[in-house]
Amino acid sequence: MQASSQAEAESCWSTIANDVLYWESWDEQHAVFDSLSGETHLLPELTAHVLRKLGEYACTARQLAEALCAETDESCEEHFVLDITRLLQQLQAVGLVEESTP
Amino acid sequence: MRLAELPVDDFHHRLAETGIQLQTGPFTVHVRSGIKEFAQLLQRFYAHFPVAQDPAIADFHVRMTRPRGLHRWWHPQVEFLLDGQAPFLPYPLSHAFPLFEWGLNWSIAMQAHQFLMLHSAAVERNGRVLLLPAWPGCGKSTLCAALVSRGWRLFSDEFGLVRHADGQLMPLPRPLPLKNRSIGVIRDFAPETELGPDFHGTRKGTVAHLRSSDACVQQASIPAPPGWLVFPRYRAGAPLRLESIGKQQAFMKLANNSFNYQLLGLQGFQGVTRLVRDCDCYILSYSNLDEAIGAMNRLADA
Repeated sequence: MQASSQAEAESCWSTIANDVLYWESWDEQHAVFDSLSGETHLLPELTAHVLRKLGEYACTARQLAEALCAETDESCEEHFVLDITRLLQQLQAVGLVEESTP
Repeated sequence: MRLAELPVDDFHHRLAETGIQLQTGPFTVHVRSGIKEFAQLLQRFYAHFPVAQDPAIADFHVRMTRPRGLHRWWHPQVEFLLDGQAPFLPYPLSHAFPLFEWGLNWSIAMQAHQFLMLHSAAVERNGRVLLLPAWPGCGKSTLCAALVSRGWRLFSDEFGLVRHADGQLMPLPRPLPLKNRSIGVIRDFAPETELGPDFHGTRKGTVAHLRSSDACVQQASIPAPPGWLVFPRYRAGAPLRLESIGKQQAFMKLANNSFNYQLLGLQGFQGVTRLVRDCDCYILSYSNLDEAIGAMNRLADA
């Protein structure tokens, strides 16, 4: 219950509109073209996965970290939540994701 | 009609008075000049290029002219005018032909955004195009000239012109400029090829132009799909090394190599990703032309 309340108070993250991002993927390497900014970004696997997930639904960093951990049956530790938060901030800095506060 | 079919006097008269419309690959170039030495070289290097008879719409209106002023008496100069404007400072009159070639390259790079433009040599064999994208100093032109001398069809020494609609490469088989040591290398490697005069003291050192073969010019309207992306690097004494590279690395190198990737936006992204998808991608280190040509032949013949 406490964790849930904390999550609700956290920022919610989403990608900028899905229809402005164009993808090309080669094995575990990815390029995404943002047609709003005209910028091309080269992304490693985890970053691309995060961006695609946020294209499916908006969520908090904690919810996103837990969803990623659930995919590999790993326990979600606090340092991973922090890593995901930093990654989201980096994606926000280049204009690929947006943050909204409840 | 080909330029060589024009009687010499008629050619000089038309070039000086109304100008001549040359069809160079996908571009029509309207060129006008009363400079006799330039006219002679234009006639020699573009002899087999088609001349548009009707006043067709030209992509580029070029005038090679002698600027007025006191300079004309003791340091004769020449200016390249595009649509009546001079984008460069005047050159010595004796450098009129290389100035025309550089000026036309510049004009294409600035304006021909109906294509994704790569800074690349492009040659064709077995129906597919080998792209050799490189910035100056990597041996791109030398390798291109050597490949052409051994039977590859010249598309361009300078431009990989990719059509947006279908990703096919368009030929632009204009004279191929060789610089400094490359001139002697190609004279020795392929003595049967026709090289023009040496122009000494240009901003790129000594330059000489290799005349495009008649066959290449005659096939200048026939595009071909891309087959191989090879990033060449000449290193004196280096052993031959052809190394396969990942698609992401090739994508980065190619996007950085394009003249207009950024400007084209989504079209640029889609053009480069399609090229990388369709091609086998390599880095080539070489010092020996025969070895490098052998490696390219093996790629094309596989």
